[in-house]
Amino acid sequence: METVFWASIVFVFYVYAGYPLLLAIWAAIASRPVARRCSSAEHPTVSVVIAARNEAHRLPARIRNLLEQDYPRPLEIIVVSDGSTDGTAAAVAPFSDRIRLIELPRGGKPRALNAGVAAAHGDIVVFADARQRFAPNAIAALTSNFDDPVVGGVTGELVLDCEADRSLDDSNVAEGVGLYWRHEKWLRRRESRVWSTLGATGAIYAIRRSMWHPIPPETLLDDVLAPMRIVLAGKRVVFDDQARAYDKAAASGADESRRKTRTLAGNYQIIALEPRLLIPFINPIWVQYVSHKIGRLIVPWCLATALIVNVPLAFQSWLYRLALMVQLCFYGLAFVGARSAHERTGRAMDESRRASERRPSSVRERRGSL
Amino acid sequence: MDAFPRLSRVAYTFVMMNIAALNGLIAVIRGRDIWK
Repeated sequence: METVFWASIVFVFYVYAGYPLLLAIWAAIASRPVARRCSSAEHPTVSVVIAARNEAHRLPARIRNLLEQDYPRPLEIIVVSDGSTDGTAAAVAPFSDRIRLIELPRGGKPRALNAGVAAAHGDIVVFADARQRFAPNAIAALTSNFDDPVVGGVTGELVLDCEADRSLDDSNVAEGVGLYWRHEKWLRRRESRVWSTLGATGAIYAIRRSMWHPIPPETLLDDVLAPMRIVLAGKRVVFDDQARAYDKAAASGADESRRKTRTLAGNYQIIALEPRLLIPFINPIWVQYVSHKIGRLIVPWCLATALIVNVPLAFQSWLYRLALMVQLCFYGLAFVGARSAHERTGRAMDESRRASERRPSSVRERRGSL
Repeated sequence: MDAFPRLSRVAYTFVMMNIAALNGLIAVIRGRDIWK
């Protein structure tokens, strides 16, 4: 029982402290820089694919943001509407001379992406979501990495508002999420320096069109499956923090929990879709994959095991009593944090409702009809 | 002075993410539809 307890504890510490330390040392002694394009080199042709469902209210700003990109060649922008029923076609109609709209019956994001890439002509395909915004140099920065023939994909940096604006840290779960996201990006930077990241950020990534293989329609994480297939094909997927996209953190713990559930479900699904990832001689980043992605899936089981096994052990010695106290204090702290987050969310919703009630009724009615 | 609330929110996020991993496994096993 003691062995099970200590193995669980050691594994949790390995995933969150040991592996980052190992990676820091690895990146320091065996960094492989990318041969980036110099400014005078020819820029590749680029297609931008946006898969969207009922995003009519966001797409015009998103398209304007792409048209304002600081890139010397015209971008081919492809918007794939996945069974939208909110007037997406009308919303993007003013841009009809600059973009292509593909309307599909509702079939999920993977099908929309497959259709978008099949219609694309650019050497490089950039994937973007409707919600986020790119920095003006984002596409130029992404594509500059493809001069290195070993690079098959590039992921940009998603900056959350809670990272950029510290004043938002007191809101809901923003602080925890911001800290987690900074840790995640720290790992990605170093994994990229060693060889390759373990996926991309769905909001901003690019791949060589020749390396795209249609993804199964049930795929939850296209931004992990497509890049990992590139890695399995022997190419690198690198992280470029000069290519930035901006987004908001989840408004509440429930929203963030749903988002994380989907991501982690996707990580389980990837193993079924690409079991080759588990074979060390086939996956060139096997150590990183097991330590980072598989580790995150095993940690909750280790935490539960460590807590359950600690109870009978606590009757044996003061060391285990202390360990149990530390664990209970940690979960108590999390409970306080959960209550605080829920209260803040409730207060924010109350304030929003009061503000809505103070608004003149004519304005409310007009908004309701939009 | 506000270190405790901050620490508690970080602890909450850590626990919430681990619960999400368990929920994710259940969702995959049950084939629940999870759209972004």
